[in-house]
Amino acid sequence: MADQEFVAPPYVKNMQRVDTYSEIDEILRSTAFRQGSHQESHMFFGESLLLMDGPGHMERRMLFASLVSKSAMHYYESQALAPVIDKVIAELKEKGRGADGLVRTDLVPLIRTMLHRITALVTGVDKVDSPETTERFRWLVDRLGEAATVEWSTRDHEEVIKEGLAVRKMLIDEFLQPSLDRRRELVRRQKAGEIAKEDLPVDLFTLLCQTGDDARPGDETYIWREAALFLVASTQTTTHTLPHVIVHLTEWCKTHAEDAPKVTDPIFLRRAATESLRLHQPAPTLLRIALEDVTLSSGRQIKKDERVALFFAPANRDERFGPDPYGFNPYRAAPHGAQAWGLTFGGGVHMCIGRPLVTGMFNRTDDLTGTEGTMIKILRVLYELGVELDPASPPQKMAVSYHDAYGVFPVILRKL
Amino acid sequence: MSSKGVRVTVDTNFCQGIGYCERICPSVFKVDKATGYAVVLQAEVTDAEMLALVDQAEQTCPTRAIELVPIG
Repeated sequence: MADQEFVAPPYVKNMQRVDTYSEIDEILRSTAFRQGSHQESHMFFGESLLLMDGPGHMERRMLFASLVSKSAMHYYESQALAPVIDKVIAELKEKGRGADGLVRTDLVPLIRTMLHRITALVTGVDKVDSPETTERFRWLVDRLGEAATVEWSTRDHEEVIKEGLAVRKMLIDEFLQPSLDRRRELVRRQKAGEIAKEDLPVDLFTLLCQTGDDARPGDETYIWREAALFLVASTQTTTHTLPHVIVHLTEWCKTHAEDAPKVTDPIFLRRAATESLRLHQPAPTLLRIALEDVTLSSGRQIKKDERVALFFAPANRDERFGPDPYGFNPYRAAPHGAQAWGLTFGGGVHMCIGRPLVTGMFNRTDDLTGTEGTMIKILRVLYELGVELDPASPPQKMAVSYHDAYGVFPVILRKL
Repeated sequence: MSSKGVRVTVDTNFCQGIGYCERICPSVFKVDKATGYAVVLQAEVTDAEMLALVDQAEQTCPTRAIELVPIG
């Protein structure tokens, strides 16, 4: 049944496949494995937080802590995300209506536009604030994202990497370098006592300038690789998963009419988003390399230096998630010792640092004292605007990669 | 953060026993080898220097399992 749900990309066909929840969980927590993903795309993410192991990883995670603190999350959500959503919706309204008086749009670029402006803020990229510059920035980051996850591309990989390097150069010249230069100057002025530390922006580039990591001798591209990670990774989960939530809720409400009015309720949406995250992962698999000969609790043997492919799709449909684990059920309870989204955000030291940005920060499903997260906040706005699938134009899955995501997702915003 | 300090807890549904908290603030956190979870050695922290460390531990924890609730 698992094979019906998920086809292994050719990139991992010769690797040992691990697809049970308990085995993947054990590998992710184990110190006997190191990161094994992004080898082909190393020139885009290499030496970044994602691919670091050992003592340097904790130091880097500590450095970035202020970017993902509770206060930062509250700031991004209230001061950045909410105005950005309003602005993007206003821009959409200005584009006009169809002959039937309804507003139609493709949700994939719309969500990316919202998220890229937030991501630019977190990374420290200036001038991503108008429709024109955001569209240019989005185009560049989307192309960079395809190259940085080239392992899952259905296109010629050499060509994708070549394009990605060219796009990165454009992204640096047009956006990243001027933004970095501005922050270098701000940090210089702060160190000279001309401005207070509190007046510095809280973003990745500023942090790296403060620590001197913005210019590593002999490694000029390091900062662009860390920036690429922040730019690409912080948009993919929400852009890939959010359309799935709408598809699942559309189907769910057909047979559970009593839940239809709940689609603007943040608690119900959190349950629906979490369940969708369990069923749909932002990356096809994660890869790990054994640092020594390992025998898992299940008896599975993995040799030193062997790279294994962790398949989350079948693992997240484990029977520990209750009856009908292949089905969508927003009322599904999280099993003890696991999250309701399963292994979707990874585990161990490499658990996704941006998870709180996506899911919000909360301690219980019904907790509204934390943050909503990008996914729930955007979903709530869309449902308040009467989002529904456009019956004249069905959504289409991504054609250029093995990601479980939509490339085109036409919707009607009936109340806009 | 409250000037009176914080109450520290670890959510075992999130904790994976990675141990960054213990390395950052060993007087407050320790990973129990038997259970695989971090345990809190000091439930309330009021000292300013220690507050900075538990705050750092909370933000650095890869699974975000640490909860700091302001006292008072």
